[in-house]
Amino acid sequence: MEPVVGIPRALLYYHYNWLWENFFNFLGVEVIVSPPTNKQILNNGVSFSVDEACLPVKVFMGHCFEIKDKVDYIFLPRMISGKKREYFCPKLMGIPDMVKNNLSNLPSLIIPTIDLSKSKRNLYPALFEIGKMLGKKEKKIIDSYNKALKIWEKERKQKVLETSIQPKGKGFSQDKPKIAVISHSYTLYDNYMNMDLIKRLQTMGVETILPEMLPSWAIEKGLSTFNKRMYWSLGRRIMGSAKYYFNHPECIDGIILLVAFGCGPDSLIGELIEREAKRIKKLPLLLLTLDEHSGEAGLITRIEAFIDLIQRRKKVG
Amino acid sequence: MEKCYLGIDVGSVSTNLVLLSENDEVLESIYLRTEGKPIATVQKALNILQQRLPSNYRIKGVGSTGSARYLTNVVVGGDCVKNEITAHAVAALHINPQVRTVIEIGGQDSKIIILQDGIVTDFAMNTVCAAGTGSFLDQQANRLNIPIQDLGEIALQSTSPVRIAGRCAVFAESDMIHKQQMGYSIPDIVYGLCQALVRNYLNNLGKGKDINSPIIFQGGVAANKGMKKAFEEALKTEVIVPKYYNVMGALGVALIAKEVVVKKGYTNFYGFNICNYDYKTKSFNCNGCPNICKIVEITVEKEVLGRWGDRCGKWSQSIKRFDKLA
Repeated sequence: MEPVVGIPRALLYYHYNWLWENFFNFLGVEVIVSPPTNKQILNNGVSFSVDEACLPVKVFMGHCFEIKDKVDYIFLPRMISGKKREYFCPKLMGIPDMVKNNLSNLPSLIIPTIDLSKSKRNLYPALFEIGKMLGKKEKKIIDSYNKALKIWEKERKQKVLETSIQPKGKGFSQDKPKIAVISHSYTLYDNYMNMDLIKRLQTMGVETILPEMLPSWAIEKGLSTFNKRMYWSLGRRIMGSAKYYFNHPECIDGIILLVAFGCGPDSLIGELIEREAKRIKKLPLLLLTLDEHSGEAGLITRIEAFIDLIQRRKKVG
Repeated sequence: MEKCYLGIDVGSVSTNLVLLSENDEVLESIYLRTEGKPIATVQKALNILQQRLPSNYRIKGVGSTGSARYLTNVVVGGDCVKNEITAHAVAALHINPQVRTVIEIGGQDSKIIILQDGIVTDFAMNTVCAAGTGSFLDQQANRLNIPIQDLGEIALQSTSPVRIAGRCAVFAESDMIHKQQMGYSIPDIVYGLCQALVRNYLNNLGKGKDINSPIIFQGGVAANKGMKKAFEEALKTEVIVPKYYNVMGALGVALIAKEVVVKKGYTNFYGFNICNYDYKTKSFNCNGCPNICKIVEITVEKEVLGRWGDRCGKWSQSIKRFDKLA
């Protein structure tokens, strides 16, 4: 009997999904991913979290609770850094401890420490640790990882959309508003958490651009005009894409910045982006804050008004 | 036969109707308390309107706004549904095309709209807190045993306003009680309250916004002269309260409805006979998935008019077309 590894469908799963899933599959391990967030998962997450956790962390707890009785292992990497001089948010680093202390009757936890801030090679001890727990040989572990990485990188490249950095009107119909929705992937792709924001915008006739559609050079170019080194890995994508569009306002009609309540880095990044938008005055910006008490009515009113604003601007030219 | 256009704004506290002539003049305006019964209030308001409407006028278009805009649209057969922010901006621009800032304080929400050259450039709405809105003033007036209409006049009698903590409605209330117990006069407390609300508003919504004149102050709270004065003191400039300040949302959506209908060529309005129908709403939990959505269903004469509240569309997309009233 091969062991079953559970992955919570939350936080970095939305970034590393194929990498993690395929890695375990190539190792010959069955993977169960928790179902998409629903009301019950959110409610469980809120009740098993400390108050000061951000909404995505609360959702993560709910997902752990959801799968803990269905699997032999839960994959809970301690994500410290994915790249030199870049770090993940402290709440992501502390996630394994939060799970251990707030949930009981847990299956075995796979908690490799991923800290590549000094060297890329630090990844291997972590991979071997995972493999050892599952009784796999080193060669197989490295092969599986490399194969999974290749697929994941290809997948990410496919998400890049050339039209995201082209002036609006090219490749998109001219009358459709083109709006960049900027946020963490775990907020953007969790339709329950963001109250179907993307779907709602699309049914309202909006072309939505997500940060992952921007090529990485555009993100780096955007960041290079920021007067401070951005060391939050996830913040880089948000800041970089916003900055890129501030420098190239002809590409889009407006930006919606989606922020999760309680997110430490976002409270600073959001403020910086808002100030920049005010200074530049060329791109309308809508800041939406999500928390577990958010009502849909407020969200709908705001996006409707924002689209009206953009359409009026387009008409006047 | 004269053409006219109807705007309906069903908010949390009040339901407002504005009837607009072909030349964009306000023919009638009706302001009623919603009292938690949006459909019954809309019916009541339409009834009043029908009695007041000269027989040579025909309603050629209807628009709805406010937090019950979708519900109203289904009930009356509206031609357009617009959010409150756009409706208020359109109305303010109609009153004064040069307007740069719109301050709108209603029953449970408050907004700021920044405009430039007739275009909305920025806006903000209060988030989870209702500390600076009409409901709070309403409650405090009630507690002080002052009719809400008189609150403004009393505030103007103040000679040295008391400083009241306005960050939170609950703390503001305890602060007010404390000041009363200390023996401060009612006018000073009431005006202090107005100043606290203005401070709260400018700190929350006005934060980082360029507030330029002309400034239009609208919404139910604009009736309060104390609030107008407090805004003028804080912003050090004149604040305009338009004639139809309390029905601006309805006015805006009537203007939008006119635009829509002129383009479309016909109206969906069911007519005044909807006042006589018996609308029923009920809600139930869908147990189709763990989301357990709360579904609201509105029926008229046992026929389902509309359903909403589901995330997946299982209920909202299964409505039969309702054309009995059309």
